[in-house]
Amino acid sequence: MSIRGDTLRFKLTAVLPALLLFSIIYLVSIGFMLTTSVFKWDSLYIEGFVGIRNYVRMFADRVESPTFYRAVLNNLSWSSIAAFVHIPLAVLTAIILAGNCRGWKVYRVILFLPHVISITAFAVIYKQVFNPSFGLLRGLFGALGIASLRDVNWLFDPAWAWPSIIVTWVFHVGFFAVIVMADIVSIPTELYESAQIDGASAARRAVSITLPLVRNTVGTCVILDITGGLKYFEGLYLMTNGGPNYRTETLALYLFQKLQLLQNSYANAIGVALLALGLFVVLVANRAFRIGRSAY
Amino acid sequence: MGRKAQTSTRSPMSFLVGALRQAYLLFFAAITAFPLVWVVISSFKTNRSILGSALSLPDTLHFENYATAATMTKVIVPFTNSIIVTTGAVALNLFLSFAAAFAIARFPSRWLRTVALIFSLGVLIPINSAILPIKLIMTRLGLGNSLPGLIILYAILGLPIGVLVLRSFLLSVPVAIDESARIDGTGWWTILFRIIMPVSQSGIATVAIWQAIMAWNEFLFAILLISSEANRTLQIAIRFFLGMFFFDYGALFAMLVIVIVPIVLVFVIFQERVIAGLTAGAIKG
Amino acid sequence: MKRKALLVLVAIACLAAVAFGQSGKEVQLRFLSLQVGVHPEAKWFEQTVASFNTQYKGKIRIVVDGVAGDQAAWEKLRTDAAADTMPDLLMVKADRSEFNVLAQSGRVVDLKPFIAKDAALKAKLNDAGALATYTDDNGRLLGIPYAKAYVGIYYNKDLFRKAGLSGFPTTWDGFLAASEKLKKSGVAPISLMTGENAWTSMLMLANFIGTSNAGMKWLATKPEAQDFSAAVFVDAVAKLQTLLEDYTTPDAVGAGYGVAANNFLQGQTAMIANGPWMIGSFSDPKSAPAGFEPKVGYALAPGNGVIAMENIAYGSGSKPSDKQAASFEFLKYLTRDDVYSAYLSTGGAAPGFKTDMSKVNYPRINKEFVPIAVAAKYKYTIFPNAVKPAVVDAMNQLLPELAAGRLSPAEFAGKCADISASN
Repeated sequence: MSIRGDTLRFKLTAVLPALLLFSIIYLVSIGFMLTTSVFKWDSLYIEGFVGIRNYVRMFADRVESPTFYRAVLNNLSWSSIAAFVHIPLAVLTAIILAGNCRGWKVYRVILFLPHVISITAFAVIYKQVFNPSFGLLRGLFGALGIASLRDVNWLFDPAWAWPSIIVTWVFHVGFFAVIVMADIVSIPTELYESAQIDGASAARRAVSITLPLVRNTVGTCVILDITGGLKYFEGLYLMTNGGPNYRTETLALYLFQKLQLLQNSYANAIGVALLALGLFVVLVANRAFRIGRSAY
Repeated sequence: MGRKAQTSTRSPMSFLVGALRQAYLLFFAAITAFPLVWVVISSFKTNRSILGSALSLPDTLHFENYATAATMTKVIVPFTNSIIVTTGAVALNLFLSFAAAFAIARFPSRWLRTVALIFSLGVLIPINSAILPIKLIMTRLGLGNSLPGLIILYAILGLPIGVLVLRSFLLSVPVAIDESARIDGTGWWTILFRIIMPVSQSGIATVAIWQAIMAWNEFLFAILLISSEANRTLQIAIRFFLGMFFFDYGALFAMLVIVIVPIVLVFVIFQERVIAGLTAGAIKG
Repeated sequence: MKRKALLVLVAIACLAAVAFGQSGKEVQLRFLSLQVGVHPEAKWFEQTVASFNTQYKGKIRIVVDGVAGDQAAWEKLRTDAAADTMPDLLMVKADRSEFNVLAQSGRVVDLKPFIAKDAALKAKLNDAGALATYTDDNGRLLGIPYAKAYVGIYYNKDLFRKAGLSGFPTTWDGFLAASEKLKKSGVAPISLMTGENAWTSMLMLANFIGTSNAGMKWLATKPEAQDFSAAVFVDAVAKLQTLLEDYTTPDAVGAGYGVAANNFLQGQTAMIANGPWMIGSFSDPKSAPAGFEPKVGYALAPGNGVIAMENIAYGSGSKPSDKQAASFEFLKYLTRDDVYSAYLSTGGAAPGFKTDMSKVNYPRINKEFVPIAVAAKYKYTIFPNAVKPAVVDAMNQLLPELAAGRLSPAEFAGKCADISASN
């Protein structure tokens, strides 16, 4: 048995099952999405070819395009916050937790909890937290005596709606913190020890040693966070359904809403737009973090 | 192990840093835990007093909320179903992803790089828009309305991320690690499971956690594919329970607690083993 | 020896399969239903299905796929329609936004041929208007009309008395004055909602539109031809805005049906527009506090109007012919006098076909209300029947703006027109 033949056989048997199953579901989905977006498909049956009509509607229709652009803006806002606030917070948390401070095990469990509890349950909880009649925030601000904040209808106030949505996830750093932390603890201690001997402070060590070495993982986390955010809609649907007046709309939610109205081909056009946006973002992140090359 | 040792002398600077660290962690823990604590406390109040004021403590512990919630919502079956589906999906996904990711990371070749690119595209696809064709495929294959069907579907849905993340982890495993085994003529599959797997525990654990969370929280396809009450997963059950309790917030919160507590318990017990695997991790060099 | 044992095992297995196959002659029907959990008609539903299963044991068995909550149940049904996995039994609502989708799917059984073969049932179904409601554009009858409803406004007589009000206002000005008094007495006048399908708000909107001749005509117009610039509509929106801005609870914006209903049941608000199906909740200890039911009154809308709507029918989505026959058996079962009397007595609906009314024991509220409803000057349908589904969907987005004064009634109407044109 030649070594090369053996290797080739392994490559095939290792990759093909996954590739095949992936194709059945994913490639069919993309193909379907792309194809039907240029057909007329309202309600239940696919009718004739209509060319780029759906895309024209998405980009230029007087009624629909403002919603579309708003959704794109919100998606970009979400992605930026994910990359520049959420993940950095997670990395910082990971560094602190890895620093063996008091009670880190307990903190790690608490911080991880939101990811373990279902999205639906959390959306319901947050809807109650933000309830303007008897919610938690109303109680808090009432007790603190800040009447102006007490009376805010958080999820339906034009100024507060989007920030409120952001608040429901940006402080949940547990998941990515744990991932990055796993990478941190696999850094050989010798690197730190020699730096410590040279007199580097904890912060300096973190910046010069830890950060560069977890680059790959952090980059992957950024991609995961952003793409997860692009696809997320269930909680949004339960909390605001994109309101008030589409201010908390995102592409994934917009897609879902159009599916509800059975405007299926238009929804798939939105899906194509979402795909394009995601591709762009992932390529940028890939470049920025130079993923694929070893960090050492 | 990579963890910085505490210095024994506590200079004012290190004390301040330590205090800042605690404050930081406390802040995040509070924001994370506060809504949950509030729900638990509120679950013991009557509907009336919940509508009345948010922060008040219950006058007495109204356990009848739990009685109402427990009798109206049968959580055991959906809970078990979710456990079955999640563990199955994670196991299947890990097996497929790990092998594929290793092949991609280990062997530089043009077609494998293309495969990698194809998989990473999968991360982006908003799968919501394809619910219909997927439902058709699953039904035609006889996998509709069945737990094994969900397991297979979830495993596939998690392939892009599984392959992507494992590839990233495996790239930092030195190529030389299997040299001696290759010289001995050991087959690749053996190398994969005997040599590579033990040192990629952190990567595997990461993907396992991610897939478990995804499978546990997934409800779009669950609602779509499952039509008999016996096969419902927890997420579907929660959604339907919501419709039952809009008149009684006390029972609603009790229901949420009933649903959340077992999950948290399972996680707390389980996380020691998982995190131990994560942090036992590879020591390089 | 081993081979023999194997053969015996196989033989036993075959016999077992045949035996199970025999009992498998029982036809199983999946019933997608929202009348479960705390739904006011849940008990009736449960008993009816159970007694049917007992009576038809071995021949037909109904398995309930319970989905609590109207919205959730509709979402499931719509997905089933799109994916061609229709339940065998389902509720067909007269609400045009739902009915049109079901009709278009072509996957709901046309009951006409079945009814034609059954003389007794045919004689019962004598309400031409009701039958027309559930007949689609291709002449297919999609459901057995089951319930009609007169929809008014529930009010809490106790809270009214505490605010110094003696009866329910009969004019818009009177309504405003009464709301002021209620507000001063410390209670939010009316339960409204902007979330989900904005149901109670839409009912009030219909009430404001429909209480005039022009308004009745407006609500009877087909969605494709609807004119949102009509003064009747803009005025009604202005009235709704007044209520949203000043006379409802803070959580009305963003609220779903549960919040709105809960507010009324717990005495946070004094009024709620809703149909007779809610009556059961007033005496249900899980929903309302003890002694709530006697406090509730049911009144016509100010301006002497009432919503008269076809409410629900029951139909089938079965494909194979044996299941269709079985489903039809159940639909027929639903029209039995005893079953139907129990239904009407629970929810206070008006009958959709000829039945023996002697055993019907209407709840107090309905007994008092139906005569005045029948005599109301203006009768009209619900708002979702007069506009496209996309407009109903947009209420989520637009009502909060209206409530906050960021949209004027004219602008609101303009947006409705735009959305209607573009969808």
